[in-house]
Amino acid sequence: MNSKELKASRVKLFRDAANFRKTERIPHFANVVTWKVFDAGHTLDEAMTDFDVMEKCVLHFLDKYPVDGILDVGIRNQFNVTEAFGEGSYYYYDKEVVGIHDHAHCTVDTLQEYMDDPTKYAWEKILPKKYGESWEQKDKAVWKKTFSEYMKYTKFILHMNSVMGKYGLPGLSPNNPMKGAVVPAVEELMSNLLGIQQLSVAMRRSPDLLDAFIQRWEKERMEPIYEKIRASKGQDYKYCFDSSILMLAHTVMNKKQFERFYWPYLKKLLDEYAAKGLSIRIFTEGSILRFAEYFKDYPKGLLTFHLEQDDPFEFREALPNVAIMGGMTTDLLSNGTPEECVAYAKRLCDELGREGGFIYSENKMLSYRNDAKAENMLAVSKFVNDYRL
Amino acid sequence: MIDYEKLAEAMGDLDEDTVKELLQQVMDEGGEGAPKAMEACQKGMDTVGKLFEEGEYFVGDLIYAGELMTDAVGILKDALVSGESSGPKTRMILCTVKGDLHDIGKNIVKSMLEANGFDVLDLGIDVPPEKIVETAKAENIKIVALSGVLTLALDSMKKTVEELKAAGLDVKIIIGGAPVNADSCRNIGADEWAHSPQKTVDTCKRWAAEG
Repeated sequence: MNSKELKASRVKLFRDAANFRKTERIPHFANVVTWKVFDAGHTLDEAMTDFDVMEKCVLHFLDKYPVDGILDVGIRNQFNVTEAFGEGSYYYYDKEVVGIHDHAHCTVDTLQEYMDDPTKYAWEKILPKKYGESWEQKDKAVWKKTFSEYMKYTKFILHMNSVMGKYGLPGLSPNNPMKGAVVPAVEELMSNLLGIQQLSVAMRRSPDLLDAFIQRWEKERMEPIYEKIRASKGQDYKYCFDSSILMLAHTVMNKKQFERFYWPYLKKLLDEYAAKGLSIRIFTEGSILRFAEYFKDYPKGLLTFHLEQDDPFEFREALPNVAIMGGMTTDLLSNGTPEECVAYAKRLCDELGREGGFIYSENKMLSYRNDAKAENMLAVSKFVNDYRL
Repeated sequence: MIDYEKLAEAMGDLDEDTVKELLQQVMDEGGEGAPKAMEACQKGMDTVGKLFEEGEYFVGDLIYAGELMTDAVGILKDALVSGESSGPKTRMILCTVKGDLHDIGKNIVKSMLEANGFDVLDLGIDVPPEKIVETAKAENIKIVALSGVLTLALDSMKKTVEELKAAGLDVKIIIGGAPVNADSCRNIGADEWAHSPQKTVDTCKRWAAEG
């Protein structure tokens, strides 16, 4: 099988599993981010700023572990670009941790100002906060270096996409923001504009303001997406799923808040996808089980939930119509033996995947050195790849 | 005349306007009722914890409750400083462990512990084991609560527990945050674990009562 055929067969495998069709084996989507850097014998500060080192780490992983897909091929963060322009939000810690200092762009008190003129707000408030008050007057050399880093980063993305092609690895969903990764209004509020603390305050103190923001987001950002979905000609077999959503904001909401700020709009989006027979993968941070009732009437094949904290067996009982991605815990991968990991992987495949509806993956994004032992990762990757149902 | 029952109820309902109005009334009347008003607020925070346990409130409500409680203390502060002390409180350590900079969960737990009468020594975020051991020794601490969100926090928690034990300190340790569970608690060697702030409060109250 050449790499194109391999990719096509993997897309079909993912699609069949998500559609509850019986498959010969369970596909393995590696929820691996920076763990692969340590596994390849490097440190984060080396790999995150040097594309050659990052590529070596990615290739080391792909050559060592037989997986059908991977979350990240080293292209998730453009450190060099933003740092070239003077942003210091990223931090390393003992070469083992990389993170970003939290900086929500608005508060409850300034959200209206952002809504009145987002471009002006970005220009006058967000950019000075990120790059300094005199960001517009930065030296030409700084601009030049930033653009140069941006070009290098873009080139690296294209290069790594071709590497994925050579390995026959399909993308998860289209990157096109109008069709692929969709951001519901509350997720924009949670992850970019307000942050956890201010969103929590706003839901209590200024609910009407949030409603106004969401309505505007729906009109300006979501309506064009709905139009694209309506114009879609059905499932796109270039990718494992037709779309992806990251759900995080529900982790702070009580049911009344979910019903007011989240569900009506998520339902509208899911209904649009369902009407066209498309598939969507939803990565759920925290637990989604307390909201299970909202998803119970959707047809099989529409929804695949990548579970972080929920027990997959309990989830299957609650939502037999929703495919599951995940299952393997970082607890077991980091503390168990290869035999224990394989035994649990077998249970996952047998109990969740015999009739379709299961994609093996790790419950958390493998990021840190001790998120998994290499021998455990290798044992389960080989097992899932070889195991026939 | 302040209606303390109404104040407790308003705090439990997270009714900011009523809470602040009543607290302002306390201050306008000279501040003598500040300790009683504080008790009412703490009673309201108990209700918040219960509603969280029952599933009616969730994390965002706890964050908001923490904000409201902070504002309440701010309004009553001058009167509380000069008022009667409510007696000795159990001192305990709370922090986010080394390598982890998350503080929202820690801050929620802090406000709920304080509302339940604990004197919380908040060591902040990214706190190395040696600082925790040193503080526990110096302050004769019997309860330590360790928080973390990243999976790497589990390693730091384990190291902290090992160092507390190696120092021969007789402390109870509770770990909390997204990555902890019964298995990781066992592996780390902590005495208890929690995802819920209320469970943390209940556990610490039990330990404090056991002396």
